[in-house]
Amino acid sequence: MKKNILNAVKTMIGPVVILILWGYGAKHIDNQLILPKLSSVLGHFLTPTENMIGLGSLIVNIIISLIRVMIGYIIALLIGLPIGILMGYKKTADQIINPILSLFRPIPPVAWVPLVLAWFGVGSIATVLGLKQGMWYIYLHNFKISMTFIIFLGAFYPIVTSAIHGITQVPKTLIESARVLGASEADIFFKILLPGAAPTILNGMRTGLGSAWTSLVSAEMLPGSISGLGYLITHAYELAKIDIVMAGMISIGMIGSLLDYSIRFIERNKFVWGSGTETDQ
Amino acid sequence: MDIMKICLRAENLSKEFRSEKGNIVHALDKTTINIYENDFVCIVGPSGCGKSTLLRIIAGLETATTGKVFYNGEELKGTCGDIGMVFQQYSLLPWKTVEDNITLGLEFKKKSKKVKKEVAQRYLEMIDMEEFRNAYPFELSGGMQQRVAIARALANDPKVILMDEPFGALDAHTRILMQRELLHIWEKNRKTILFITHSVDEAIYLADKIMVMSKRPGKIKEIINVEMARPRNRADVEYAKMSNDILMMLEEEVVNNKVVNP
Repeated sequence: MKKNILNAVKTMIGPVVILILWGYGAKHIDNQLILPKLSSVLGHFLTPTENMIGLGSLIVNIIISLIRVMIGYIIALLIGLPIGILMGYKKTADQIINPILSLFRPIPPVAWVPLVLAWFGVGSIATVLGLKQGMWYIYLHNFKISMTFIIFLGAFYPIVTSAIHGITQVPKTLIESARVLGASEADIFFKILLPGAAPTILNGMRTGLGSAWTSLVSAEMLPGSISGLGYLITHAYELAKIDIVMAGMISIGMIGSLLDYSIRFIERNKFVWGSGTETDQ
Repeated sequence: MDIMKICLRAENLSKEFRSEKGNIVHALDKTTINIYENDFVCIVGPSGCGKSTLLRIIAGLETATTGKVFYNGEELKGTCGDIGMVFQQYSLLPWKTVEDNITLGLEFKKKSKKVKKEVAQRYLEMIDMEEFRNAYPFELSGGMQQRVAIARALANDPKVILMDEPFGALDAHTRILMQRELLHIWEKNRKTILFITHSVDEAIYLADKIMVMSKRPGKIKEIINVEMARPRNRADVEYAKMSNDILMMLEEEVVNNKVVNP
């Protein structure tokens, strides 16, 4: 218990130091365009539902961003996990798919923007569903295909790579001992390879979620975006509202680390053995 | 004593494989062994002599380049439910508890929960680890992990158990305790055991019969019957003499190896 409090205090030291430096610096510089006052930035978090100079409220922008990330991320999981697992499981699949992946992997998601725009334009999920008007159109038109694609790219590679690695690093003795005990090929796949790969895959899912969230800002800077944290930051900057820019940045940082923490939490509770074996060997 | 029945026979097994550099390695050369029912056989040999390969072929984990394996007169292809195996280490599933690891073979056979519970109980008692039933492998010492691995092999009720240097990674003291415990278990159920080790002492302590392998490509060079009563005393003159004889045989192999293959 005492240790917990001590640990909590330790994690608070960094942020508190930054806040103090910021507060002191802002007072010293005294220029809202270079470093806005602590109070004016943090004020936005106290009134999260308030509309900010026509950019929408902070909370609505956060929710829209989160939904966008989740859509791109879930698509990346649905495509990335099976491909990665297949590549780890069947060498032929790896030999065929890997050259394509390694060609595309170094291209940062932002570099895709011009092409993506040419392909999908301002098309959104509403367009995909064939909606032209109405309330659902207004909601769903916020979720552009182009953005989803950029976020998808950000999440896809860490997920695929970790799935490949997760499956291939399952020790041979585990597979062989199962074989000797009478395991069928399906048993090997579902009862040895998948659970053995799970911690590595989850770790890749965490990295993937992190980079999906990071790709968001680039995605929301695309034309046609009229909401989201990335949009909030670019447009507040055009209006010289640096305090809103910083409030947006802080939101991105906090939500990103919260997402990261929640997957770490699962890792620590569900896969105790995963970290255990790593330190063992 | 009754006429003993051959239960496992490896006939003319040869194994060649390509090394990473691309040259062909002869691991085994026309090796023939006969294992009689209820025998405890140890194979000793210089390292790299192909003794592990021999065991892995019998287990069905590798295929021989030439030769066949027979179990009760029938040719074996691949793994066989009557033949179990204990590996050197890290073979327990790290995400399963001790109890679930012991009943892994039964899970593959789709046995009911009730059956698994009963079998787990029996073998937990046998290896004296009842209080660790819910522990995970990483929480156990190396010796305990190997006890679970042995229990897991036994729980599948094989007729023959192959052991590939199961105590090789343990410290000297734990190793001696484990040897004693293995004999204790074996005396209860008298499964046929084919045990591979590079420790001559271990072989003499455990086996009814010791097969000495030559250097690579390995073949059986000598078969020695150990007739001392168990539990054997390492301080016995006979024990020491046998140990010395076998060590001499192995040394010859190593020296030869250096001359032939500098």
